[in-house]
Amino acid sequence: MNLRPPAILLAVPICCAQAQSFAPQCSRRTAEDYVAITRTERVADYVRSLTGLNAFLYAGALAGSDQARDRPHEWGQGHLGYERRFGNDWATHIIDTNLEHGFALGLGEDNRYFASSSHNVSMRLGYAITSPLLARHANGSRSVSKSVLLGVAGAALIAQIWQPRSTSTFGNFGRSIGMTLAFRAGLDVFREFAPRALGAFVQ
Amino acid sequence: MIRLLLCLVIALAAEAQQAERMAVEATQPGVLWRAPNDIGMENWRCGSAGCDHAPAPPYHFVKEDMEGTFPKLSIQDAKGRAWSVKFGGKVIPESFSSRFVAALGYVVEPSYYVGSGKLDEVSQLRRARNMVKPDGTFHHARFQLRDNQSLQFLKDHSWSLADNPFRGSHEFAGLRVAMMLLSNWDAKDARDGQQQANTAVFRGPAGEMLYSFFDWGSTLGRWGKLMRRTRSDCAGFAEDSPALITGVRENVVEWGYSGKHEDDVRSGITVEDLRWLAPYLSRITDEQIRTGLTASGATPRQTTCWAEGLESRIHAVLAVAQNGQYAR
Repeated sequence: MNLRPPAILLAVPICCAQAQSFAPQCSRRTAEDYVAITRTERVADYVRSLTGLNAFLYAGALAGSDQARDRPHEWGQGHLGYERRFGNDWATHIIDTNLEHGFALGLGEDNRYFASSSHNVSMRLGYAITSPLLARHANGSRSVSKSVLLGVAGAALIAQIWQPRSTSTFGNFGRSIGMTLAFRAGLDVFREFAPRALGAFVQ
Repeated sequence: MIRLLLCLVIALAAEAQQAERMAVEATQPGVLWRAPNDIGMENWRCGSAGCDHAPAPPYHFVKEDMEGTFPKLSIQDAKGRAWSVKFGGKVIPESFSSRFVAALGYVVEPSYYVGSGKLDEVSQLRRARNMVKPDGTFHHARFQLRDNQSLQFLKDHSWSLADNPFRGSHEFAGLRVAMMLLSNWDAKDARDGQQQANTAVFRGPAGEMLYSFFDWGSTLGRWGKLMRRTRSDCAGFAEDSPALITGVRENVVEWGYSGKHEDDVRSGITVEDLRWLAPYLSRITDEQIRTGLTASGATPRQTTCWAEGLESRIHAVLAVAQNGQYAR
């Protein structure tokens, strides 16, 4: 079992974190600061989603988890097995990003994360956990994100094409959706509670 | 025949008037800056042109303007004045920055923040449909006065930061410092085309040519290029503030700012330029900044955050002006 790549990916933000101090009012961009997304901001967000550290983190961690559980067993172990799993998760992410941003543009949804304005820990936790499923609109209102659901489900469905027999199942399709949304919820919890310098790595 | 002669006379008169106007323009020196009066609390509270010029409800919807990036409407207020109403991310930056820039003596179109209001007879909105309810009510808008009597926008005129009559002057350096103080990364000018330029020439009431950087909507956030820049982002603004000035080399100030045409914005500003600007900059008080931010729609948290960031930037500029060198 080779867990080195995800371990390295997880270590990067920790070792590179800078000790910066910000006034409490300025420590993070919160929901209170929300302004409607522009076309150029959409482009920047799209590029960031494709190339940002969180994409590598997600693919790396998921591939590591599947490697540890030898899932799917057809892809074997060692470097080659990890590369196949990483490639699978990375390709799924690319498809998901393209579908999600396309739908978001058409539907006028904004799926960027803004920290909670609340000071209550349980409120903030609830806000972060539900954030992946909620999109903002130009006037700041929030509703269930159709673009996220369509993107995640569409990517999981398309990824079935190259799955080996043992994971080419309806259960695996559902698992893929669940894992993606769970990872995003975890990432948003990290963004919400991590110090600003650390959280900036996964913006 | 009489009608034809009448048309000819009108055409000749119009041509003569145009020639006269162009002759005036040719002889009038351009104005970038005028010594500012101490604009007082009223202008920080109401808007750069004072409380008397603030928009007066009820507002009458005229049309939706499809130019630019943000939803925009043309409206008329109860006093019959024309306003350009904008929604979204430029509301606080434009409302506040116009006050700040006017306080330093630069020409800006008066902008006002209107927290909520109602438009009469709104119909067929496209981009602004999410910002204005079907009954015409709206929240969080920036009203900019379109007053041809005091500031006539000259459509065929623009200027660039690289080529203008003011290069090398303290006044021009002061404008660029103001841009960096507010993190204005969208420094598009005549080189980017007439439609895109954020630089303009207005004709003033006495026929003078007023050179203006008129779009201050991409401010109060993080400076930078596409992947980094933000607007109306107090946390990002605070984050960049310590890096505004990075050093002084051979009397030339070095800046951390980046954005469109960044070299034209930040290069060649000397300590003497900052010394020229210092009296006007130091006149702006903490209370004025906070009043201006609150009146521009900022929440208490945002006001504190932006004010602290801006004050630290002003102190950094004043320290270099005073000491002639930069000490981190």
